[in-house]
Formats: sequence, structure tokens, C-alpha cells
Amino acid sequence: MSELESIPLGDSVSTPSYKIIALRYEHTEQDFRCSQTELAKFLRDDAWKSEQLGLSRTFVLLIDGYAPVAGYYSLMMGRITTTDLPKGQVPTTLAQLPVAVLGKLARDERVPKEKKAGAILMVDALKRTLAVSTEIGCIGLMLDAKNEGLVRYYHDKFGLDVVGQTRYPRKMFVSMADLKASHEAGQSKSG
Amino acid sequence: MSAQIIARSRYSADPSSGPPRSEVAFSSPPLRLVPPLELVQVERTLPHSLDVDLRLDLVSFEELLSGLGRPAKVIPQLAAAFRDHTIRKP
Repeated sequence: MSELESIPLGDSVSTPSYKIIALRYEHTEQDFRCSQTELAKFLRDDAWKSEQLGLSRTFVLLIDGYAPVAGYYSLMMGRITTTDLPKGQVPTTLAQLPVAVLGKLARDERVPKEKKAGAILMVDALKRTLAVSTEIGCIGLMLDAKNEGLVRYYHDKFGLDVVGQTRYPRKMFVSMADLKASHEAGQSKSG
Repeated sequence: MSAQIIARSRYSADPSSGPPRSEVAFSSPPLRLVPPLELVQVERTLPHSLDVDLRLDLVSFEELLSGLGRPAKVIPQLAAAFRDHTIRKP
């Protein structure tokens, strides 16, 4: 059984110093600092409400000795659609593609980059998406990259590709098939 | 208060001779018109978690759709990320 299969959704995954757990109300009351104020605001004001309504699921990274909440990410389900269907063409099932959406991912600015909080959160989000895709139809993971630096980061570190013709934020995508193949390759390399 | 809807037959032989024979009365759940301002207020109370725009232009959408059928490939940097940044159980 792979490690992914052995971790039930919602359970915490931890080492002595790193832990990723499902959001609790107390996390929203912590002093989370981020240069992008909307990401701090989301955790403080919206994440718990969104959790209760079932709109998204948020997971927080806790690292011993650093900020109360070292980082977090929020996942939700969505469907990719096109607004440019030829006139008169009725949308079909294939005009609405189910996808996991990484709505937010943020690191507290007091956590040193060397701790790789962002990469740890991203990998956890991707693994969680993989686990969900065995139960619910999902063609991949999509996110909005807010600037050029983030486009480079998500491509160079995780292989996401830009899709669509939009300016920033730019949509980035990785298919579930590639995600699964890459996960299996990563697992075999780690022995 | 429940609303009551009266349906009258359009084919009554003599409309002036009292209530039509086909008069039907039934109840429906209470209906309320919501003013636009109130809708906006409800929307504002929802968390801003759904702000990822998932609409694509047709060309990009079809590219994505056609990509679903191609064989899976290992993305080297993604495989490395899984290897290097997975939190292991103690």
C-alpha cells in the first residue's frame, strides 16, 4: 500500500517538527502575516465560514518554533467551462470539466524560505487531490497564478502549465494522469 | 401565509354563468420576492473563496479536452517535489 493510500483524508500528517492538519477555528485567530494581505484576510475572515458551508477545505502547516500557523492552502471542486461555445450549441457534459481548484496557498512571512513551507503545502495539496480523484471525477488541478514569479514557481517546481489566453492572474493546470504518474515516480525514487 | 393559485378553464362554455366547473385551487409554499439589494447583501456575507475563474476560451478549452486522451507522462520536477517535500510519518 502506498503512503498516499495509508493516509485517510482529514487525518493529520506529521513529523516531530512539521504537521499538516485540517483547519480549526483557533487557527483563524492566530497572527498570520503575509505580504499579500488578501491571503491573511482569507484565513482570518473567510476560511472558517467557507469550511462550515462546505465551499472549500483548508489545511494548515504547523512547524515547531515558528509562526503559529506557518502556512495554509484551500482546496475546492470546480468545473472548467468555456464561454465561447458556437452559437446555438448546447453545453454538454464534455463542456464542463470537473477539476480540483487550489484556491489559496500562503506561507507566513516569518517562516524562512529554507523551511520549504510552500513546497510542502503544495505537495500535500496535490496528494490530497490524487486521493480524492479515486472517489470523485476530477481531470486535474487548476490554480490562478497572480504574477510572473508565481507562474515560474508553479511551472519550474511542479510542472504546471499555463492554459488560456488571460493576462494575470494566469490559469495553470496539471492533469490527473500526469500527477499520478509523477507521484508514482517520486515514490519509487524515494525508495 | 401560503399563496393560493386559482386556475380557471379557458374553455368554460359560459364565463358569465358563475364560477367555472374546472376551477382548481391548490396551495404552494410561501413565495417571497427578494429585493436585489438584499441579494447583494447575502452575496457579501459569503466567503471569498471561489474567486478562481474557471472559464476558458474555446481554443484553450479544446486543447485541454484533447489532452485528456494522451498517455500520462512523468513530470521530472513534480516527481522530485513528491520525493523531496512529502512529510513522512514519524
